[in-house]
Amino acid sequence: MPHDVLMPQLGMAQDAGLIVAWHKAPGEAVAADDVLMEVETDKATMEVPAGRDGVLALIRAEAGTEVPVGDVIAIIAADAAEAARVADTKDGASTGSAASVADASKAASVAEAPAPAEKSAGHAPSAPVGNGASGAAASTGNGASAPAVPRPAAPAAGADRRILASPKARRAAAERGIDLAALVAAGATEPILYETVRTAPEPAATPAPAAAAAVAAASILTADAGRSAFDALLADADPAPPRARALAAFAAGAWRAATGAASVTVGCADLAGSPASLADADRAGLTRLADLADADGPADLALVDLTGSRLTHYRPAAGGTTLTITGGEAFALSLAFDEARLPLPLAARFLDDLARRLEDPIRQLL
Amino acid sequence: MREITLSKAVNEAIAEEMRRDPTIILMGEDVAEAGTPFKVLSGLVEEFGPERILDTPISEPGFTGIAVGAAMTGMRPIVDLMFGDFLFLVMDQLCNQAAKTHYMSGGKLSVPMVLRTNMGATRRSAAQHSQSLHALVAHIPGLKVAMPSSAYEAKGLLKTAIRDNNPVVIFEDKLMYQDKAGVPEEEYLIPFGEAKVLREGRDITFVATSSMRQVAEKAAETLSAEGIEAEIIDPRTIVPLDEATILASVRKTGRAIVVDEGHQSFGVTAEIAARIAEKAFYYLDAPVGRMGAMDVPVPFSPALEDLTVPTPERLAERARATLRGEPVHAA
Repeated sequence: MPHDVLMPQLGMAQDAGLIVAWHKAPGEAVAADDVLMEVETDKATMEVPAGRDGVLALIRAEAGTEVPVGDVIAIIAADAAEAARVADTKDGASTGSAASVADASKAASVAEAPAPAEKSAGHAPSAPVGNGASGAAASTGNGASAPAVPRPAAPAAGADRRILASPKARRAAAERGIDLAALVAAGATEPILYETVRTAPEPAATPAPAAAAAVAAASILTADAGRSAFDALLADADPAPPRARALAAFAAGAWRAATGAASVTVGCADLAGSPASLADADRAGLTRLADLADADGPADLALVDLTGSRLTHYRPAAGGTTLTITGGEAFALSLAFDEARLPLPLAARFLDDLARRLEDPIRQLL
Repeated sequence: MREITLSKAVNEAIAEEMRRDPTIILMGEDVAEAGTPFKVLSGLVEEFGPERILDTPISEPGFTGIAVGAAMTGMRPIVDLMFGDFLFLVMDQLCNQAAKTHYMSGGKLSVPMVLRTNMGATRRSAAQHSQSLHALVAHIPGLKVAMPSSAYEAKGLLKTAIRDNNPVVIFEDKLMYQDKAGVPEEEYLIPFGEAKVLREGRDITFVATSSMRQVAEKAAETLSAEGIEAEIIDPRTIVPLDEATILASVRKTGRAIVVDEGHQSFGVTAEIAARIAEKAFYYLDAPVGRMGAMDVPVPFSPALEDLTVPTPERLAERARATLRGEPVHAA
């Protein structure tokens, strides 16, 4: 894994540091004790060691720039090959969310930085000439002629957007380990109130990792849900879960509702062939589905996501009974099952329930 | 239990205390033979004589100053301020002298004085005789402020005020003088700083002072028919304020609207709402609502005057919106 080098905090009250010089260049091997750079704070200039053996992959803040404490200023890769890969991604965004968050905050601080100087300069004319502090501040800007600095735009709805929730709802969610983002992704309206959190399903404990189970089970569901409310829900979810996994979560909810099963394991795959076996996916929260580990044990239901293809359903060679529901052009569901193992009424109830959930995703929450 | 008017309850409280303690005197405009414009004090001068029930000239700063001095030197005066609006005339006597004497004398002097006055709009008395100015004195450390919400509270709080060794301002709603409530024959006192839960409910808390109690009770009945259960808290004294009872209620319901007849801005609703937000923040499922009087001089026009004060209908609608989680735009 590439290692993010952060602007260190060298003093208690320090909130930024000036990079005086880099002692290593990208592509150069570094040892943990090697001096990587010099950082100047308002108190002192210090040499900062690399802190990690590896190869300096890239430098994100050139010498002479002032960087807020905690921002990513360089990336050290494990070896030359990884360094090359990191460098290829230009800004190193692939190293993880920390880098992109740092990017955003750096952009904000850069844009805001000149503001204090401008403000001081504005006050300067009223200060006596030669007055130490005010004079120094005034000299950093040029009073009225200083260009207006645009404020950074308000954060758009996205990764760092704060979800609106009442204090009580937020507290209850924290106590129960419920992800507010998942509630929003599942269709909850904002501000989220306590009642929504109270009635949300408990998140499932993350199952132990296991080998990805093949898509094989007694009942096989094929689904095409490219134009339903479910699809709109996925488009709004951030991060968007893989469609097949989200369908599996909905199917698990409908299965649980129809059969009353205490736990539901759904094997799922899309046409790109990324199979997974998920336990109680309906309780995991949409935004966490991507990270849900594979479940042990046989699947109750196998799901094949046909969205985006022209296929409508497929029936395994072993056959059995098939039920199909289409919702106009919005979705098409087809269930092939063995009546000896899944009675027809239960199968029908399950498929009907799933169709309702795709039409109105709020049902998945209730 | 017998039911008597708020006016009669005040009269009884003063008479009982004056019989008990000969140092109690009462002074103000038209308090003796006239018994005040609201006939609250009728009969007192006949029992206690003009030496203890003192009619004064129209001179609020003068007789309030006399009362402060009398209180410092061993008497227990009750000042009758005919309209709460006249508080502006006695601010120095009340806020600079009475409120601070105990503190500034190092505890050597105290001012066991009660200033009785009134509040409340919709009596068609225009802008200078309709104000509810209790927030003004509640702002001043050293003054206690009581706001009875019925005849029962009026008697119990006034008796406690008279026995208090420090200055107390008690506001009676002039629209409530003829309202009856159950008042025991036997003596009772209502301690300061103890709010009363008038109605229990699970969905929203109304904190309502003085006559806003009636507004809250009517709104709660309407809402109850719709399945919304409001809890009503009457603080009874706003200084000292029984935070514990208010906060316990809000922690239970998760929502609160504070209703008071003073002007909304910088008023009692703001103070109580702020304390709820500070101390029960993580229990709140909605912003704390405030409903006070409109920030305008009280109009003389009856049609306009009625629009300036909280009503059961507006409170109920505000409560419904709060429960629906709607953002608040109303002033």
